[in-house]
Amino acid sequence: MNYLSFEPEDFAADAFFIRWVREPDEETETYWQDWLQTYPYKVQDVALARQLVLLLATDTDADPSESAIRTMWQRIQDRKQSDPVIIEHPARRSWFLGISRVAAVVALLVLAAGGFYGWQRRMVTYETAYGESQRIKLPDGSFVDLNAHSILTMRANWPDGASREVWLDGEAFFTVSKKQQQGRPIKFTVHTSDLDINVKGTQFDVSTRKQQTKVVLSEGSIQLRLNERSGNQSLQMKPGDAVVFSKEKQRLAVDHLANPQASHSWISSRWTLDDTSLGEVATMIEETYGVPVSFADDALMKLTVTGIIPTNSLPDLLNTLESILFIKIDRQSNRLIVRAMP
Amino acid sequence: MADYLTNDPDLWNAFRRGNEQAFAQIYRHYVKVLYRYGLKITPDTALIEDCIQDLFIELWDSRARLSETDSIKFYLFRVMRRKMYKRLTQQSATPYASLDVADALTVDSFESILIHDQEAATYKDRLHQALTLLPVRQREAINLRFFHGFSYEQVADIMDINLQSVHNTIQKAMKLLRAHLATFVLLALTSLF
Repeated sequence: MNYLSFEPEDFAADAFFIRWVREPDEETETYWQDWLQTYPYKVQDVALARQLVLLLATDTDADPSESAIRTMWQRIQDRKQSDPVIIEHPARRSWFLGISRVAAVVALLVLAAGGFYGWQRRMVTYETAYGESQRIKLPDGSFVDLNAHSILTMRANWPDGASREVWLDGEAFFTVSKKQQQGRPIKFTVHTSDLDINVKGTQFDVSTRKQQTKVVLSEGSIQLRLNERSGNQSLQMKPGDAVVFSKEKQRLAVDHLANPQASHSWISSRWTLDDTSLGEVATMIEETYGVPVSFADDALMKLTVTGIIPTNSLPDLLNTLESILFIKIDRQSNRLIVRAMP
Repeated sequence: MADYLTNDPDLWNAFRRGNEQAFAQIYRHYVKVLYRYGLKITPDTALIEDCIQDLFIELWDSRARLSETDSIKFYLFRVMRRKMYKRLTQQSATPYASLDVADALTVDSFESILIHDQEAATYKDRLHQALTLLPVRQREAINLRFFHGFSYEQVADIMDINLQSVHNTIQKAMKLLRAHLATFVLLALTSLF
């Protein structure tokens, strides 16, 4: 190659020259040092060309944000074809199915037992098993999406004009229709162990899990009343408000959520996680699927997850967590153990 | 970037056998460079993200049909580019607004950047500023060759043009950039007196 006629830009575009600048080896080093000694008046051109090559190897554009990376990955996971189910641990599947069957039988028995009461006072109970959710149409036309491992109880007969009441243990999303009797709205009440939620027509999520009761309002308005045991306080909620009552501290905390829909994303068989710690996700898994989760190293509980995770299958959910967080989840017969990737 | 992909072919083969971990690793390792490359073609980050998603979904769905390849990166860039241009053509949007103007670019334009922005901190800043004024194809070729380190042959394959065109494109870009640098050096010298 005759480099004598080269301008700086020609050097900078030359493969052999670029190799020397980027990944010098004996061949390129010897060649270019010799060449510069032979043609010392070219030193400046070569220096300029080197600078061009080096500067162009840098890039000022920003990386995508970590949350964008996770969101994209989540969408990829959602939309890619899922594999045929591979049964790696037959034992695991059997306990899982086993629990569902037992729970289903229990639910039927509970319903049958309801029949012993008089028609007027007859109570109906809906119960979901771990890993299941159910949509229930109430006698007044309202809807309840009952999350996994939850119980909803109500009177079988709802006379016109009488107040509407249900009792909840677990988590549910309510879509309450507006009802009127002689121009006055008929109130709808959700009773939980700590508080009563009074509404007219609205959408909201209630969960009574662990040591706390949580209410998240999507639209409309809610009047919340703590029951006698919890201090009889009352509170008006606006859309987006999230109220958490802690049994242990006997304290009510109000928060405003930018995205209240995230709290009931479980209805569409997915969790919307936003910087949620793996510790919290573990609790959600325990509540939804009834499997205890433990950590080989407590530091792992602090890892956070952002994105939408499908929850219709526990194995898929665990695979997803493993691939985003680079952790290993041991599927033992009756529990899960989270470990760092070996 | 962490260099844990010491053995590309092994990872690629594990992925082709349907290993989810390998798939996640490939994603983690390449998502940032693909995104940065996308930014050289369009400023539309939503479109870039869509293309990255489609790319990886297709990659997974067709993994059994993929051949053994010695460079995952090369493969991903080639498919990424096709996807992006397909989308851009569908939207009948030019990749960058500067596309038409860019061909009319002369050395004068670069001088005018200097005059308009004498405050730009460094030589490097000015060069990157000059890069944004290059026609999109020149900028893309420069980015693939110098930042991502592809060979001229690979750049030709990725951009779907012949080898000579790549050489010409990069040479033209270099001329413009060098002119810019020279002006800057000149200004730097005059400011000494």
